[in-house]
Amino acid sequence: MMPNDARGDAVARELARLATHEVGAARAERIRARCHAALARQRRAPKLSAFLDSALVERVLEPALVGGVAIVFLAEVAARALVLYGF
Amino acid sequence: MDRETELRLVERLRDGDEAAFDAVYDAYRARLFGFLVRLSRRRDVAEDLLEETWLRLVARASSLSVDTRLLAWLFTVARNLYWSYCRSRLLDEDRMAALARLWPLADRRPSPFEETAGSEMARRLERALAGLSRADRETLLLVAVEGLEPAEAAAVCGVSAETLRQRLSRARARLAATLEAGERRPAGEPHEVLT
Repeated sequence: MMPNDARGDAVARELARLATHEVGAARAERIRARCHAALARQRRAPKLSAFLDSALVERVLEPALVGGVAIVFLAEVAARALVLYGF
Repeated sequence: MDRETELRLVERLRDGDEAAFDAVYDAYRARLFGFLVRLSRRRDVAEDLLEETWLRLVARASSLSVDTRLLAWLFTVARNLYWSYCRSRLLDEDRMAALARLWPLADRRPSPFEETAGSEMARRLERALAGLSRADRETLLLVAVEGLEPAEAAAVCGVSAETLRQRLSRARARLAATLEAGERRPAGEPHEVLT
């Protein structure tokens, strides 16, 4: 029986050499065709969707919009509270 | 694929370049499919998940960050799709064990070519991998079979590097135990009990 370390190394080598699998040729080409069509659609589509997906929108505009709405809401609550207390 | 080439391909993918897609698709398709086949143990499921993974790539191509590591990105999407598939089908470990019968390498008779070309060790490893839990199998596939760095594999699995190292250690021990149990089994006894 092989020592544990040597055996572990042998197993690791065999794992790294396991046979690759390939999807059937027809399926592979179908996937490629669908992806090409999707890329072509994106190139034709207006840039708006790309803009909406952009990091600028995600990291800056969305938080700014949510923050703005929250500030307006809090200001309105504060104003009504002041009116209620007669200020 | 070296890092410089990969970064150029990411840049072109962001512009919707079909040739760049083809280069990535040809470079990583087999590895991704092998990962999905071994993870799901079902060829038909792996084919569907593979298709969905590539469609996700093109759908998000324009918003890829410029320093995206494509292989890790693809493995992350494929892995998450697989776990979503499991949740949607409410597949528990028992049911997965029953599905092991469908594992394409485990229960079909090897061709004469495979008998001479494929080593007995490789066949036993495939069987042992198929018998591990999904989490163990996923960890071993990413690190030991696909060669991802543990930190990359941790990011793919959404766990810390330390957690992944522990999982890897456990998975290796369980694989070794499974292989050893297989060695002790008398000749002629089946490797799996099919119910």
